Amino acid sequence: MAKVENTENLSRQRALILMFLASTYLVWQVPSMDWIADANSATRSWADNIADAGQILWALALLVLVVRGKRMFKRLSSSAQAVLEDDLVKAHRNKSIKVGYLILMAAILCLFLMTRFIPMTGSDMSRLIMAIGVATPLYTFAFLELHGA
Amino acid sequence: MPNHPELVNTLTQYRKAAGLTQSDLADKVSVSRKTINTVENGVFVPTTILSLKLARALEVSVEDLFQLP
Repeated sequence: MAKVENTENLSRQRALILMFLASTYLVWQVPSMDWIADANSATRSWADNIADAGQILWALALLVLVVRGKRMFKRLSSSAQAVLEDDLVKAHRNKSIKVGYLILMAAILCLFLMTRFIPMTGSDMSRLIMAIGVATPLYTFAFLELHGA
Repeated sequence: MPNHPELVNTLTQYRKAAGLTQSDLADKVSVSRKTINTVENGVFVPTTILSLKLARALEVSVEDLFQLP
């Protein structure tokens, strides 16, 4: 039973780290957009500080996930490793990539229509597309792992 | 919401008949308890490999566990 609880805990931790990673990526990218910089004409605005904090937190979360996560995974028994990468996890991963793709396509269409009414720089456009493309699958996977099936 | 509502699934009955909990069965086939739960509820349709592992763990055939009406 302890083993089951341990893998359930690790699975929950993985989902939470992925959610944190997605959130910090958004905190990094969104305040860095040109329209926010234009609205804050000061040389060093609050938006720059938030973006820098987001970037640092994102890098730290990525390090924790890659270095610590990999080391912990290697230390687990082969059956625990199999539990953490079982068929349901693979199905959730596939579903989150599919959902991410569909939302990204819808977002690109919306952005395309928006640019007919609101001027938007190429840099903002690419930041938004990247942010949606990175964050949506991570949030979807975390949500499926924590709540759904 | 089941993925394939037409799939008849008797995993719960066979598991209980074998005197196993979801965690016991999950341990036997190296998946999470949640995976067993979602298979039993019809939310997740298992792969061929997992179906064969479940059948072997419960000492029945795959057709005993999953059927189409």
